[in-house]
Amino acid sequence: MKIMKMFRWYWQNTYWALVGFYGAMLGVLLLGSTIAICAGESEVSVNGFSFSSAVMIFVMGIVFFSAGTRFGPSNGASRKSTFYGFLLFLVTLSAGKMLINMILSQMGQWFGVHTQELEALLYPGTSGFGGWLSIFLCQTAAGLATGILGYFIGGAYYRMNKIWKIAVSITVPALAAIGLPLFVVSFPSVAEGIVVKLLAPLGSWVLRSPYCLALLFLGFSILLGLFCWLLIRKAPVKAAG
Amino acid sequence: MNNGIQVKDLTVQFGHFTALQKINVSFGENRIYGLLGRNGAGKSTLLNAVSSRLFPKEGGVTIDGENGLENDRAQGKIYYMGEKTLYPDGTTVKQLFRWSRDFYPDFDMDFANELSQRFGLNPKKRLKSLSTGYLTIAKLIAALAAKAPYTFFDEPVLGLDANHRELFYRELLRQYSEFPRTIVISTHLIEEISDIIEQVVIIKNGTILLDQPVEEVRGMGYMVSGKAAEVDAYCAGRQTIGEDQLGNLKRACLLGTPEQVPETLEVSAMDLQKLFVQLTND
Repeated sequence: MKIMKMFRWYWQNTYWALVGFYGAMLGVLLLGSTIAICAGESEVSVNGFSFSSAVMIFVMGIVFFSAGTRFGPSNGASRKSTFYGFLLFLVTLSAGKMLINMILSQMGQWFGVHTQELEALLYPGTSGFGGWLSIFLCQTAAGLATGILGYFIGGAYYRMNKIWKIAVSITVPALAAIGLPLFVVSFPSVAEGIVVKLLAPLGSWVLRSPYCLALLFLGFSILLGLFCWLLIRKAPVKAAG
Repeated sequence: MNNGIQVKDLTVQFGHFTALQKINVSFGENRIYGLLGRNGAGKSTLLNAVSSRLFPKEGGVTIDGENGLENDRAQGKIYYMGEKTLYPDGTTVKQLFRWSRDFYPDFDMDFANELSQRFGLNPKKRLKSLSTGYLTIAKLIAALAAKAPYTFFDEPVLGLDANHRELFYRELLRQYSEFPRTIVISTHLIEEISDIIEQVVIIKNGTILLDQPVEEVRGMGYMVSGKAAEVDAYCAGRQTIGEDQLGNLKRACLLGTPEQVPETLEVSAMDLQKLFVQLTND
């Protein structure tokens, strides 16, 4: 298996993107710290490390389906190696980024900048190493889920022909923007039932602990990962454009 | 175990179009093959299917006795230099070489650098910024330096000037003599490779039309040249597959073996391209 070779290849292609990303993050943090220290401002806050990381991972997921499917099989790596290599890359990327984010966040706090992440706000009771670990796992799972989602979208577009691409590009946003509100207005009792019976219990379960949220993201990743495998397992190698 | 590449009953379909129809062909060890066919005949599709870049509808491929499809070890023995560029946009020549080295353990970086110098290729350049010719050169160098047991070239001299083409053929033969391997060249420039290849495989409409050693193919016919009137007289009643005339001098390609050729006419080996045109004409 060439999983490790593909894993290294994904990392090699991520290097400069990471340098740029953390260069920008450090810049913002430095700016916030400077304001906090020089101006004596106590309300400076720099947030969204994990959110912007998740967005970056999502974009990488989109890009790496086509890039990996072109590169791997045309260099003697099977689709299985290409896919497993990506999963391994994604887990390490997500964990690595979230770890760095937490360090940056802590650094910011030392310099008087508020850097609370969404998860910390959702679970205010978390503290100590256990709390830190649960938030870390939660953020890592969130990164994994967004990466897999990007990979799935990238894969779906890679496999579709032009007509399908146009159809999906129009239909999906239209359904979300028009169809969903129309459904809620047309069938209020059904919509309410979904919210009350499905989403509300899920929400309260998730709010019980960061581990629950991490499990939700993990379950989502596994489910979507299976669809991703279906997309890549018979994917032909085709050039861009 | 080494016994080459065996393609058995391979059928590839794109929608309703059948690109390859129950193809049976083998690429033996340490031979140079010429894979010939008209546009759309199925040459690239065959190479793509053998190298697992696309999936056949039916049939299979074995590489040195192993199932070749989706098999890391088996596919690692094939280096396929295709027409299309399958690397990310920002890839430089240097990166292309490095990645090839990562995936092909016998990749010779010194040789790649030496060839780059000889071809005048700047390894720091991005593939995207290279001209068609230099992009081909970058891929050719990677394919030669990879030293894979099975190396496929699809239109290897696309966009190359005569000097670079000459250099490539020379390097190919030098490499082949130093590190024998199976080489498959798919090209339309038949005359240029006719002295290099040992075996000819001709594809027509998705089926194998001919699969024979070059010498046997050349033996299928012959050429006579001399004064036009004498050539015409000799050709009368014989199966002629092509003619060239320059002033009063004429050359004709005929099928069969030379018989009762007048002394005034010169007999030479069959022109492979003429035979190809004859065989593949609809």
